[in-house]
Amino acid sequence: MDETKKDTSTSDTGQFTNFDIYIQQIPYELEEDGIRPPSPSVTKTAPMIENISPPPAANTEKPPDPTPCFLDEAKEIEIPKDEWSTFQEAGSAKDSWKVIDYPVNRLPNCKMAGTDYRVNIEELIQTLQQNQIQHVTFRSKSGNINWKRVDGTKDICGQPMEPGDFDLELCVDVQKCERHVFPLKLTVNPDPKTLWKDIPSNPNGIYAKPDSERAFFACSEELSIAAASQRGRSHAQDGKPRDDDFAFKYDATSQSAVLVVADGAGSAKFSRKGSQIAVQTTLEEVIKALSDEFWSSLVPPIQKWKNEHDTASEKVINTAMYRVLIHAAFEAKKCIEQEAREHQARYMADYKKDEKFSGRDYATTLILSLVKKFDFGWFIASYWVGDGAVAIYRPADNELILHGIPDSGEYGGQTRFLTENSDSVWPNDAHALIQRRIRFDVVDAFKAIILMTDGISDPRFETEKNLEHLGEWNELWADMEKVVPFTQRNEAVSDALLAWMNFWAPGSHDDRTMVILY
Amino acid sequence: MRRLPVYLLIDTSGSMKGEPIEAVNAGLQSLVASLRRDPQALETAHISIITFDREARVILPLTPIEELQLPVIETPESGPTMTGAALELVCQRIDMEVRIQSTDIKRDWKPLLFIMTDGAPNDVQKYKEMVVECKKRNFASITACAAGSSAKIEMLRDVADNIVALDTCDSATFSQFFTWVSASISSGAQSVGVVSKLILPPPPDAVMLVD
Repeated sequence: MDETKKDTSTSDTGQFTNFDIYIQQIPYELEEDGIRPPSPSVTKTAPMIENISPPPAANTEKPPDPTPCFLDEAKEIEIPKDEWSTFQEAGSAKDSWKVIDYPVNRLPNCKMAGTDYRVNIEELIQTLQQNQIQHVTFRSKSGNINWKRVDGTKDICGQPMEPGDFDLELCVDVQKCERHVFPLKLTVNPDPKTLWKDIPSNPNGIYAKPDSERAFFACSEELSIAAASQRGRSHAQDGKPRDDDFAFKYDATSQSAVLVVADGAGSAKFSRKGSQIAVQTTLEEVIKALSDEFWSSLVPPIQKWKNEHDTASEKVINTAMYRVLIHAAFEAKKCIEQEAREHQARYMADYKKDEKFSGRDYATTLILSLVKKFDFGWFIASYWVGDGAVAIYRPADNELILHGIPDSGEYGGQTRFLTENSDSVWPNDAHALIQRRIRFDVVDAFKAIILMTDGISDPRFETEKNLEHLGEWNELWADMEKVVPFTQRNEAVSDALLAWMNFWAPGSHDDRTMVILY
Repeated sequence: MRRLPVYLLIDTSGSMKGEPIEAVNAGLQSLVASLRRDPQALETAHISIITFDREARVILPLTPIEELQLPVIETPESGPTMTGAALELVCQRIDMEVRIQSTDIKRDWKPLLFIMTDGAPNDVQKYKEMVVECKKRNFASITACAAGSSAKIEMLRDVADNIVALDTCDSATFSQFFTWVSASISSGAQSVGVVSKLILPPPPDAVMLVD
């Protein structure tokens, strides 16, 4: 039976006594800066510190544990003289002290190297009779962490700069020449930012494409298109290529623009090619379908719909958009399937091995928007399959039009792809297809039309519900404006947009792509 | 943030006593240490440990890697292997801890499940019922590890997508196994967004894939 236990049983628990804490910066050495060598043999009251805050309520209310489990294993040993010489010389009349070793305690982990870490030591030593505590010493036995005491508290703080597992020690000297030694372990997590690698993808690999891309086009003095696409950290880590893609085209004569983004599925082997074919094919197909006649035939219904929102005009417009946008999307799907077949043939020729490839290996999402300026306003139509987002951003009118419905599954990351043959993406019923995938609007003005892949929408909006909130888009725009000089209307905008895409969001390191018409 | 929930079910029946369970403890330590060094896993992976012998218990609720402190796993002297109870508990925990299907909150990635056992279920009836329940939970992958020669691979086939076998229950073998589990979790954290089943990295020599 050790003395500590006896002490605990007779302790006037709940009473709080102030005690000083000594920090030792370097193992087994005492340092300047208010750190005094303990003088345990001299009977005295614990040093008083001014402005000590009362202990947290939770601690005082906690009933004392009469038999703390870790005390059972405490054992007494003689103090090794060499180690404690400073301590001894400080005035001990006795030759030896009782040292009571406690089992190792784990401190809560330090979230990240380089950040402040703070821990309260009171709970650790609550089994000791507090009014008998004379000195508390805290030190690192490994690692170079500068510990400091938080004034007026029983908190120790420090800023571990290196990740790893560290041994610390808390020594509590009490009356009767006892030193209670609490070995502590602290795990410091690495800063994830320091762990990411940026390995270039193989420029000669199959379906290689640049790890990032950007483009800018000045449509007029007041209208521009800026676009950028950045390979995600999760791909950069392994030197994998970027799966996202984008394309756009502005036609000055008709004052119309086609904007496209696509996000190749991370799980599909050749999705980088799938997204590329998707954006290029849809862009070409939509442009092919547009003509002066096409637009002039649509002027009356669009104008009528703007004023009346009537079903008859809606039907005419929807039918036209079906012929343009859905046709383009379907052509893209066919082109992807064609590529899969050709690849299979090439594979057979090169490797003499029968390997099956299908659209599934090229799985990609697609967001396609068609924008056209009329005298009476802007006509915007979108086709959307998969995740990401497309919206008409109209903060001046306090409006955000999310231009469609994102596809999401039960769990994170589940979505739909252009390349799949499901009823959801390609229903047999044209009306159902229009209803689910096509959206059009006519607005007087907009600040921007924004298309993005989920590498951006996922971290910036968190949930689908937030995609509909103007406030969230305001935040996004404000954040971009901090670095993107939108008013310049030159390449500096797309350069800055690409740079902005490096923003940090924990757990979100997918490819990021955005096309903005503004 | 989207979490990657990882559930580890560990057999702590009497036969695991001694070197095997010590090897498991050491293996878990190195598993966590290596996940801490993987940026994707460090940010997304959340680990839960459930042990099972005569009963199943959660010894570590779903915890982010950065906060994780491993408890020491102990085994009783002897006793049955209630694998069914363990599956029941993991299903309950998943229903409680994993966030799915809502427009208001960020959904988690599909969970990963690893089951390690050196014997056969003693609660066969419950085990069979729970295999059905597990299938409903939509795991990204269920990997079973048959440790040692007494492990019944046939029973594991019902529940697992992937089965690996370890010839011996020594620390060198377990160390290889846990290194591979760590690589599998890392690859799970990386291939997030995957719709199809998770593809596991090739196992090391001492860990044999069972067809």
